Amino acid sequence: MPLVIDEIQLIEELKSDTKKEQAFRALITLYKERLYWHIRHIVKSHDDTDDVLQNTFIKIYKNIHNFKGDSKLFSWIYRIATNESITFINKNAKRLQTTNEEVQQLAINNLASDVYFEGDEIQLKLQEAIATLPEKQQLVFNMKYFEDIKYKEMSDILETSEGALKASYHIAVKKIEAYLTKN
Amino acid sequence: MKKNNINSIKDSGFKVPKDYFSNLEDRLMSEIKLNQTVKDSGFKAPDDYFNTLESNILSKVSKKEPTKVIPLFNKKNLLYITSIAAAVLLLFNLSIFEKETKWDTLDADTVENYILNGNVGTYEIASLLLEGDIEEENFTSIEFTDEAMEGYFIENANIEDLMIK
Repeated sequence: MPLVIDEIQLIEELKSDTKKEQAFRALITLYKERLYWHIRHIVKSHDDTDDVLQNTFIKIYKNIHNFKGDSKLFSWIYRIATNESITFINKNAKRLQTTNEEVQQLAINNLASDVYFEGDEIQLKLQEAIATLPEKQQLVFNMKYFEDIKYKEMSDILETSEGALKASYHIAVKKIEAYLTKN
Repeated sequence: MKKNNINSIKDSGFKVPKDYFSNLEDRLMSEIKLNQTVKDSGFKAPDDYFNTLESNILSKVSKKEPTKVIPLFNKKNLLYITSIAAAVLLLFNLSIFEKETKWDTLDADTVENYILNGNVGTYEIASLLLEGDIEEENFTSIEFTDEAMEGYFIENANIEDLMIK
């Protein structure tokens, strides 16, 4: 099956009745890995990521007719994935009657025994360091450092000015570096 | 002149953010150091995870949600239907929807009372009469049989009337 790359055509097909499923399959293929890693860096465990990723795609499928094209499809999809991930953490915190920070800390603690985490000690430390950051700084750091998303795109996704994002990123790098040196 | 103009512009107009140069080393060094220590997050996905993802998700979205069967005659619906029926019946029984009165269905008493109560004048009655009804012969050619006349006099006439005649 040829991969539909033309965004406008893809959106049109996603909104149509006849080609919707085929277009949706193409959309998943196009975004699955990028979105997986984006979500994985937020929720940490593979199983949770799988849940959130599937929810994200299902939400996209159900809400594509609401996509007005004010932003790029890419940004819209990433925004949904980001929101779904954060909602997931919030829900977990509520269920466990604790804070988001503790939920994240718990996820980090579980990493050492996670079969899908191959990191050495320093990578584990890096995850610990990231978990100490405020939510927004974590997002910006992950998106820039691991996912290589450009500030311009990040600005669309997170609806924050590029300047503020750059500042957040530099603060995050500094804090992480300080954490790693100290530990 | 042109040369002078160019010479007079000393500043290109470009600017750098405040403190850009003062903390550039810092920023670069922390980034480089971090990059040297660790670049990869260490997370990995299960083998084949991405190969089966499309089918996995599609099976979820295209799974037709089972159509809920709503019985037509459950208690709630029955209540609705009967109350609607009752309302409709009531509506047709109200006098505002009563059928127009037909001449055939009028009984003599009703008409009599109507006329007696003064609702009808001579003109109204006249307007109801057809031309054939009021031809002269109708009035002149009335003949009474002797028996009828005799009966009439026996019942209605008294002796004084006869004596005057």
